[in-house]
Amino acid sequence: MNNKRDHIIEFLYHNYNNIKNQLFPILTFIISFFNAHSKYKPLIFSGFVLVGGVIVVYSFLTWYNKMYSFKEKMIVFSEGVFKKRRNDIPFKNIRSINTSDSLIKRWMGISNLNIEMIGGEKVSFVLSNREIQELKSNIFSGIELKTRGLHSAKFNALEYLLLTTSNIGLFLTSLSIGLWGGGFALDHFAVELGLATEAEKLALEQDTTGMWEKLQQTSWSDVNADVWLGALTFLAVIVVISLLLTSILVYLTYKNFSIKISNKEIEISYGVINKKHFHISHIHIRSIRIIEPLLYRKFGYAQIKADNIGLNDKASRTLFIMPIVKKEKIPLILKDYTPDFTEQIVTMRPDRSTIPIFIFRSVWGVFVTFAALTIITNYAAWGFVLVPLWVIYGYLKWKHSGLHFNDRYITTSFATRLNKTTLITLKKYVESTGVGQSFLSKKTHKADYSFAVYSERLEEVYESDLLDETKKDEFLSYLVMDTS
Amino acid sequence: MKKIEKQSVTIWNLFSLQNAIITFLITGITFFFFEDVQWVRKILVIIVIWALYTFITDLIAHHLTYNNAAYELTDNILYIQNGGFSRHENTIPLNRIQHADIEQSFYSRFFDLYALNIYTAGANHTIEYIKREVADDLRNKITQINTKEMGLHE
Repeated sequence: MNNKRDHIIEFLYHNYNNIKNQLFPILTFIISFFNAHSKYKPLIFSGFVLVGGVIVVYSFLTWYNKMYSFKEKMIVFSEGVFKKRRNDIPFKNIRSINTSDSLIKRWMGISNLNIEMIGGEKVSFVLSNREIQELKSNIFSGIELKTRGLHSAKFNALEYLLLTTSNIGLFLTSLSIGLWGGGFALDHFAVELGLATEAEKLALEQDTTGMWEKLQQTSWSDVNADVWLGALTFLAVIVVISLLLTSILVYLTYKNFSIKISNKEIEISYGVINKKHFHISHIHIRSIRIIEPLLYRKFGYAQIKADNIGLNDKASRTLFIMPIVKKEKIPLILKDYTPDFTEQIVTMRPDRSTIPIFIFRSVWGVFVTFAALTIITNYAAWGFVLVPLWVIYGYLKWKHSGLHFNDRYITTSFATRLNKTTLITLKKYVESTGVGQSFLSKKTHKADYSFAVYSERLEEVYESDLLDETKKDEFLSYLVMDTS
Repeated sequence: MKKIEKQSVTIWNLFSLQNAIITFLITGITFFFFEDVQWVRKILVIIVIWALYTFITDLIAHHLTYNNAAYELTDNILYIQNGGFSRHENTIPLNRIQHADIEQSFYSRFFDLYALNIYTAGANHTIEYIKREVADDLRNKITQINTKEMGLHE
């Protein structure tokens, strides 16, 4: 195949992305800071025209210099504007491929082809769907996607609602849209909403002071309860609108969720506007992660994720085997789609006498920090009101902590904020095991068990604290058996 | 079980002393320029107390660390024991080790001692401080056995 460049739409997309993510937020911040009618307006305008011009030129050069060709056994790839980088990627180093698109790209019949390599490096190409199909069969030569099982999950209203609660990223996006919309409504329809008189609106339009000057001029002791109540009501309305918006985004993100399975890989796709598409080889699945956020637990649901040894953290975060599923269905899902894994029961758990230690470990750092801050300012003493949150967190850490190991898997469960996670890892991907004991824990016959797993990160170590020490020796020699 | 060199305690103590001196210098300079600002003074007091606490606990922990530190290399595993107030034992199968290197820090140079760093795909381990010939011997043995047993994850 000859040298290729990304589709020309990618050049426009670069510009759109840079302007949306960098230029636009900085511009709106500066305008709100100095006011749209401030004396600095011509200077701000000129600066942004200049930066916009640089972005367009840089985007063009980025697009123009990114070239690649697909040879018989490798991808030859070069990119860079000021510093050129050439990379030859043998197909055997490719761990997974996935495709994604947007509504516009789908209309044009093109998609992003994302290639993940051993070591977590990722390259993306924007190609026509026909070319991607050809490449998929080349890169995964010998792996025919014969559909052994096809699962299309249709989520009900409660499940979409629960998915909404576990998507902080989408909520923050909705919140920024909500705040922008709220600000727009206040600017343009304050009179119609009964929040200001015509005269006040006119005065506001003619006001040339920016946010910075307003903050400096405000006498906070004169701000009465009505103003605070009004501001809080406004924020509450924005949060409710944002939640509704998040539900819509979640619906569009997870609709059409489907999994296909062949003997060698699983193919997961979901989404309406931005469609995600993952191919994961069974042999590259290191662990299965069963995550139970607090609200999911209350309704008997969980999420199933796969830790793929070729994927970086960012890609792994979006890689669901099932974004929401009834807990009783987990064994069936694992059996159908990840045949190397079965559900594991955590057998080693810290006993009740260790609860105070878990709470102490969780609280002491926060306590010392607030105590130190209180020396600087008395207001910091209010921080102690929040200490019960860390007490609860310490308790949850105890409640969800556990370990289990057998000749095939090592399983650990732990709490991350309000979530419970159960991590089932294949024994062959465990790199080392360890046991720690302090003077006190030795006296009470307790030990902290830890293990490191094969990871794209420099270190990925999991620890289960204050378990019974009786399995200490067995755990330390856990990996010795298969080294002979 | 083999022990590390006794001078390791001195090397660790020198590191802790160096950190304490740097902290006291920075707080001293800050105090000189911002003596009149009350909240800065309070922050500096907290930093000095913290630095003193860390320095004293380090000195105690280093003696315990030396007592706890030991290692053993067999045909298929490397066993490392370390830790100060808590004792940690680690078992690393040799076929999991990706590479090992020998490092000499500024202070360990005074005693002609070295640290052996062992890297797996999920964690790093260190045996510090040992003599050059011991470090070389350990590294060579690890590399030899490791080369024979490649491809574990395939």
